[in-house]
Amino acid sequence: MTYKNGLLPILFLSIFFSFSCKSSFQENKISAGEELKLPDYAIGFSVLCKGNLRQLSIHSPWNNGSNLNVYYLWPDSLPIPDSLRLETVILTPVRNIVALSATQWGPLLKLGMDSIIKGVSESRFIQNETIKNMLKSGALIDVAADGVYKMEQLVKLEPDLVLYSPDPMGISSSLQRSGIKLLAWPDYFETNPLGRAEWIKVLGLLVQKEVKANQIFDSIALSYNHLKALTKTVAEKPQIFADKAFAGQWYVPGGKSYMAEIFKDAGANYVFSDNNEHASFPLDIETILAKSKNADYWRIAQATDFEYSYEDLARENELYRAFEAFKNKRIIFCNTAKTAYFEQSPMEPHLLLADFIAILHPELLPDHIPVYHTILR
Amino acid sequence: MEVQKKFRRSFILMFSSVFLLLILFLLNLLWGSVSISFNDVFAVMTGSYEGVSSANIIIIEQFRFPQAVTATFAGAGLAVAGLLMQTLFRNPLADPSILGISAGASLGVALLLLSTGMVSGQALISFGWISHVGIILASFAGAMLVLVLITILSKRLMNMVSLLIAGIMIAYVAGAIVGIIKYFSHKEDLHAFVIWGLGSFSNVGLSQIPFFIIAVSLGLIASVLLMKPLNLMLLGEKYARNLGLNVKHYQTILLLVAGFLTAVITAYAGPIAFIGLAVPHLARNLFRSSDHKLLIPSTIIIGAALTLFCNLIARLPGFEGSLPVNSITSLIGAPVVVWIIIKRQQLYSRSA
Repeated sequence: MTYKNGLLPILFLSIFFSFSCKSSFQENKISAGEELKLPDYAIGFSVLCKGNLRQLSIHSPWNNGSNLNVYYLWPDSLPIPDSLRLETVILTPVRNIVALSATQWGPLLKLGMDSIIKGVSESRFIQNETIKNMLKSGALIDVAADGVYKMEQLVKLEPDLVLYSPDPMGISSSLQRSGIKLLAWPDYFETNPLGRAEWIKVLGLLVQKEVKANQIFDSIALSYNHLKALTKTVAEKPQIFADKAFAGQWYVPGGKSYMAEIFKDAGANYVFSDNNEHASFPLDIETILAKSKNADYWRIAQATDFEYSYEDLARENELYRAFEAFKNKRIIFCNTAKTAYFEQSPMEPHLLLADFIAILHPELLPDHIPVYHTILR
Repeated sequence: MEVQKKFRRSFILMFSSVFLLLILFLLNLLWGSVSISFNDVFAVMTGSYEGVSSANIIIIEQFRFPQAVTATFAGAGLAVAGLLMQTLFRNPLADPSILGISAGASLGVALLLLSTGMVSGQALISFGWISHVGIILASFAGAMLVLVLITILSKRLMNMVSLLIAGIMIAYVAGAIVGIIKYFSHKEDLHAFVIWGLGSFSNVGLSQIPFFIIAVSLGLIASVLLMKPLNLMLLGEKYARNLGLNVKHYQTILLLVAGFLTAVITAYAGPIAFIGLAVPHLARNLFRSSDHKLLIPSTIIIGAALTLFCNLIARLPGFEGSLPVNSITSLIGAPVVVWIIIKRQQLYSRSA
């Protein structure tokens, strides 16, 4: 819709109102010469290939069978075929991009595409030196803080594409009004650790570095699966539970969550493995105490500037002393302020897994140097 | 002589408030986190678009203009709703949220937002833009539900104080249910709800603006038509009845008009605090009058102007992002109310 006569007439005159809905769901009909490339582990995207054409579908994490986006990727060096004129096309390689989360710009750095990143979000939490330097020099800017988009700065960048984390509430309504191409990035819904890392392949497609992206992912998958195989034969699987109360609520990882997968692959028994949640869910502290009191290990991730100790933990809640893992000093701790856990570990699931294996089964990885997790002292 | 002087004063005041309103509206278009020249803004507003970069067109057309319009109408509507409530309850502390209408809106949104996470991962509404309309509908439905409940109660309850208490209780109940829903929901869903609760004038897109304007205008026109009965009600129920006013009838109408305005504005902009409470006081003090023929138009204009001012402060060029509007309205609104109370006290003590 364009308003050729300016905006004032709509203010005073217009009565009609139109919903301009874009249908985001298109069926995949595979015809001759097309090849459906499903990712090995991820469930959030799929790619259909035909010659130079790639059809990228981002699946909705909330509604089975519907897509958040369907885009046609076409090399910008070739003339666009007529058949694509009406479709949503992204010309590759994408030359400037806004990547709102670390799991988007992280793989771009790995692919050596630093220069195309023009915008990031929540910059005060970013630990990566490359990105920090680019922010300092003004090569890229912060376009969202505390969950609110700075729409004016974002529009001013005129990016080819904005990668964003979708949520079911439609906070992105202002993003949609910007007229900029948006690509949903629901990677955090992947509960398979390798599935989350596999999203680097989508970036590979966007910047025409498919081969390199596949190589990077394959080497991650190789080491992850190798480590996972190590724990197949362990005689005893220690019991583990995770996290702690915050503002009266204790969110524990769901039994089918990413963290639960890591625990399982590291050769541990997760206390809530029977649960069917894919994300963290709140439980009463008494319920957790009843089920986890005798568990061997307790995993906590927290951001602190100082050396965190058992006493600090007990000061938060006296009840914590009741856990066996507390008494035996078997808390697996990740200081998210000192390690780039949130930023990098999604792309390095093999290192995350190795951390846990080295702690839970030291005999399997005697020489491992901890990356994110250590036993709390 | 005295009357003429007063009339002239009101006229000048009214004229300057309208002027201020226009200036503030313009400043809202001009000022933002990205600097855009006056010429560019002028070009887009008059529809010539010449020499304006496409990014600037989008910023003005899709973001600044709808936001300024939303702030204007939301401010005017909330202020008038506050005035109606204050006259209806003859209570200077009444505001649009006092009868639990905003709480009802929150409940509607909480049910929608937080149920998406609860219904076995299946979202009620798939995503994005459509779900934004979903939020508006859910909020409106929640607010209207409370309004209907209040209206039914108002027929049963004999006096306005009981109704006030009932309204506050409804607000508590709605708040409690929201609390329970929050307790059982996922962190991510909670965050979206918190953001909604901060209020924002940037939620209304250009395509929804006509809807919003028409709905708020209906409420504003209705309140202008109610000026006379409002003046009578100011005298108290008994006097009003003696003067031939069907008090019960008009009380219901006032409730519906104020409630409808609150419901519409909360649906589009989230709960916006304090405008409804502070502006009527501001208008009464500026115009030194309690005549609704003067108060209603002045409340509309001052409400719009003050809200535009808050919106301007919330995204001053110095800040990169924008502050939550709800905090700004309270920060500005609260001192205004205190100032008025102090001033009034001095007035009383002087006369005593």
